[in-house]
Amino acid sequence: MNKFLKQLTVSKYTHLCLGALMLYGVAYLVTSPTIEERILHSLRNYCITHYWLRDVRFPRERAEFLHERYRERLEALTQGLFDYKDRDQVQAFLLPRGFLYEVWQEGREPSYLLSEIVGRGRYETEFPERISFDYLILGRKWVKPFGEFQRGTQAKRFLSEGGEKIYIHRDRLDSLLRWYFESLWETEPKKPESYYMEWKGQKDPLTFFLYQDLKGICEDIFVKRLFSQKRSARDYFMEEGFNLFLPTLLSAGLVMRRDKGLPLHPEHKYLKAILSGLSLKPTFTLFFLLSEQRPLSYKPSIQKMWEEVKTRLTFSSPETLHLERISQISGELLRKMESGKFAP
Amino acid sequence: MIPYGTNLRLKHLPWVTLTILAINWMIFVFHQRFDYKINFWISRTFCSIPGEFIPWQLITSAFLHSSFLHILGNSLYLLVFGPFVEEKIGWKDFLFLYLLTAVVSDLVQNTMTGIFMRETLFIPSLGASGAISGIMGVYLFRCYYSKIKLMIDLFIPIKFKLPAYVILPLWFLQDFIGGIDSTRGIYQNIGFWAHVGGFAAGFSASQYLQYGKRARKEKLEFIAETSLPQYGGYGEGIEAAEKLLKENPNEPELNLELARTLSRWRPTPEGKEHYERAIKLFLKIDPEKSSEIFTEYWGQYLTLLDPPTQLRLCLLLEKKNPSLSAITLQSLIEKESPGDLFMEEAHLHLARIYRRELGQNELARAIYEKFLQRFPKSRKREFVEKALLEMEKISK
Repeated sequence: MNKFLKQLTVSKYTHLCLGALMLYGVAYLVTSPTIEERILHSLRNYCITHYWLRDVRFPRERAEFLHERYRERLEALTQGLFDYKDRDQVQAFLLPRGFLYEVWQEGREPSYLLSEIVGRGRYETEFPERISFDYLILGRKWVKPFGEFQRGTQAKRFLSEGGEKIYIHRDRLDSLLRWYFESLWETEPKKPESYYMEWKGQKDPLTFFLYQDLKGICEDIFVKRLFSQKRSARDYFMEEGFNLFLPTLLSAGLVMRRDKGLPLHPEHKYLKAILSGLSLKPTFTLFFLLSEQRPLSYKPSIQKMWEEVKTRLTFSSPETLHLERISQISGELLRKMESGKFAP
Repeated sequence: MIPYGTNLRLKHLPWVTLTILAINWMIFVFHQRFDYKINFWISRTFCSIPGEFIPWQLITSAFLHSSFLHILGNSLYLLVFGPFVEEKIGWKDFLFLYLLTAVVSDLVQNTMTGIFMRETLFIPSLGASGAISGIMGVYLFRCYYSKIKLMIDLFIPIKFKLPAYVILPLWFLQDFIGGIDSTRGIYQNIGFWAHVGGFAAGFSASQYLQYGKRARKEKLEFIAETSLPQYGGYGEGIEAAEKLLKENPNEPELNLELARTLSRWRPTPEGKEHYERAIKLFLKIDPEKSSEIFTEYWGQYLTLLDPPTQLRLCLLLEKKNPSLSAITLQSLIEKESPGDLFMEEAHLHLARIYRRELGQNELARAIYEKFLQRFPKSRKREFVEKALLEMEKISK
């Protein structure tokens, strides 16, 4: 026995196994999830499988099975902490941990929002009376609202409301800014024409409008060369780029907050808010993105409203548009909406 | 680039590699037949989830695959590299390293997930690619001198070869870059860190288990084996063979190959030396082959070996090639001085060959008479005299 143990101890194979065992220990320590992580993942799976039940693309039986499994797991994890069916309790648990959770009814089914909070603030203004509201800037969405889940990027919204707060959704702008930055960094633009794409003499509206809005930032990075490192250049681009659009979104949020008690359809409220924002603080990119968005509701009146708005938002070529015109168009649309011509 | 083979030659059937492949495919096929409920249970029980892994999952996940393309790709790489590694290091070491690198690759992937990619902490991982990367690491260490046969693409079937020490590190680098990208949020649904970890584990384990010495020797053997038979460019082969023979001069096959190469265009003293050595070595292990080699050697050099060896060879050649046996024996008895015990035997065998195989009784008689002259006090004298009398009676 002693001889066997001695042989085992000096064996290189034993040493290799011990090495693997040590790595196991390290991996175990490093990967141990916190209770928050477990709950977040279970909550996400619970919400998404709930969507599968609503979406005809997913086999119902399978969706039910998985939803039930994740529900059991969520219940087990949250026992003694909070009631996962109670929105306020879930929010109270997640908000201090940097996550926003929202749930609301769309007809008979719930829609969820689970997102990282990347910023918060308080906006105050006199418009015409003194209004102030708290806002949260939301980053990556772990669970999107059902409309966005079903219909994709064009169903993304720039802002929404929840309780007393306004939520500003940064993810659409972030992905766009990141894409634009990466493509500029690769191409190393030297002239103004290099900042946007052109095809058969036609300027691509998205890149053209992005350049119009972000000229100063592009100059800092690609002309003045203020940053030698890509990472710091990208961080600057993303932050300053978003800050450029923030005043428009806050103005929109202001209108949304003001209309809080009104019996308006959420899509109507959203359009009204965004058009107000564009009217007060116009930007090319947000104007263009709004023209690309799709309605979330299938209600004929909402569809009609969106159609008419999108018709007015079209343009022959990007160069013909300028900020005053954007403000003018947005204002005209807003007046039409307020006069009831578009109201559902 | 897709590998489809190497320039090494397989000598044995790689049982363990084929068994692992068979197990993987059997599990995959069965997996497809199960419904989503059982698949959910399989996923929870046997796949490795970084945030919640259980020890056995580090091995079981290496036998599960998510799609047909996944298992096909892994099978291809295992078939290209596995058999040679198994042959070189033995099936036990192969199996041990396959499982070890499966575990280590999973642990490395989990660790990197835990540090850099926590949002994927609960996404299960599966597949044999970590273990196969480990085998590739061993392959690089052990068969670095070989060339990998590659195809650009399935749709662009342009084939070429690259040395293993070029292409394998390139693939490792590709995986490493993929791993760095994944830590920066660019996910491609591939466990790059598992590949990196597995490869590094295989390579390091090979070093620790000291496969290097054997690898250097195998490289020389490979060069010798492939270069020596060629009609041109065999200089490298000669060099390699000589290095090998320096360490172990008693390699019969190698001596023979070298002898043939050195004698290919004309007889050379070195070629003669290696032929003689090969003949003597084969005499101990395969006398039949030794006699064949001697026939070849005689055709080139027309030189006898030392009497005891020569005599033995002549005995072996007696039935197969009696003429050659007789010629060489004749040369032997004429060349060598009497008084040697082997010479007595040589005379008697020659006479026998002349009598029985070649029917040359006159020549046989002459040999017997020479025997009596040279060896008057031999114990075989009586036998020879009897033989002579017999032959006289027959002739009368």
